[in-house]
Amino acid sequence: MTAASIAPFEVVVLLSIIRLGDDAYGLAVRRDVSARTGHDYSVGAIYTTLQRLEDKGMLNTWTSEPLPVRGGRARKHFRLTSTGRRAMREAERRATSVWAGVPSTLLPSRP
Amino acid sequence: MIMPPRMAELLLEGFGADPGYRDAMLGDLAEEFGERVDRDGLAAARRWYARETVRSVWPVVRTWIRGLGWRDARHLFGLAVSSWLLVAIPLFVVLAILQGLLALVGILMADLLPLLFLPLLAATGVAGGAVAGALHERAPLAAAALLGALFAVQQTIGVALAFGPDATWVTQLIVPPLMLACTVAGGLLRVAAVLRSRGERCVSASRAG
Repeated sequence: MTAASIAPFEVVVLLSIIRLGDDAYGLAVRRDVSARTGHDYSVGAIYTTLQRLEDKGMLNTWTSEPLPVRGGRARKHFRLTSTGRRAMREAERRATSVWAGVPSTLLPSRP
Repeated sequence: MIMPPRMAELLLEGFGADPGYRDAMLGDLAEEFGERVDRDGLAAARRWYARETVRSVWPVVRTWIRGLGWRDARHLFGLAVSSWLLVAIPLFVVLAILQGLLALVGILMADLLPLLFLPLLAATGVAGGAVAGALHERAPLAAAALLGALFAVQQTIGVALAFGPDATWVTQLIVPPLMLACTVAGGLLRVAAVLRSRGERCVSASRAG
């Protein structure tokens, strides 16, 4: 699996899962991703991405006990697999390579 | 805890969301719904829930469409055509008999169209949606929607052939969307029945346990 097969939004979701650690379940991931990107993503958009990443072998899942606050439903937690970690290292390497050599003076100044 | 409306469950089940992910999505929606009830009140939470459900169903539908192979698409189309045959042929027979009886008493079918034809079509749409949903248990609402589209096309062509330039605005503008809406409603009824029977099975299993 190479970073070329990861879409930019999938990288954002995987980064969120790394940050959240053991607390990485759908709602927490959605809140984290929405807060960091400034876009209010729907539950469906986050879960279809999570499902795709699991299908690609980058995530594995475990479920909590059913919780009353969720109407008796369990939380589905996500964790990176070794394939996911490799893909993220490759994505980081590529991003660093793309940004390399751009002097900070060429970047637009902050308002 | 105030339980959220069942709309999301119906739609996610109807469009064949993966069961593990469907429950996680419904759990997330319920969790945030509960938080919003406490923070913003029940009415605002219900509005949020309805909006979030519609926003969440589209990515599921898009994923389902992308995952459809040629064989699945052909199978689904075959089911929609079979459902159409099951309900449209009896409708045509009923209409032909009615037309004959009305002609005997000197009434033109076209005069009674809004009163007679529309309820019959609506009933056919609902029955067709329920049949399509029953034939395609994996994504009942998708099958019903496809049948609804078939119905809408068939009605558009049928009206053009039957009435030509004499077709009224009722037949031209109301009938195709009515068929689509009623067929989807039939599919929703089927999904609701499946969820109800599943719930009853769970209750009886827990009682037995």
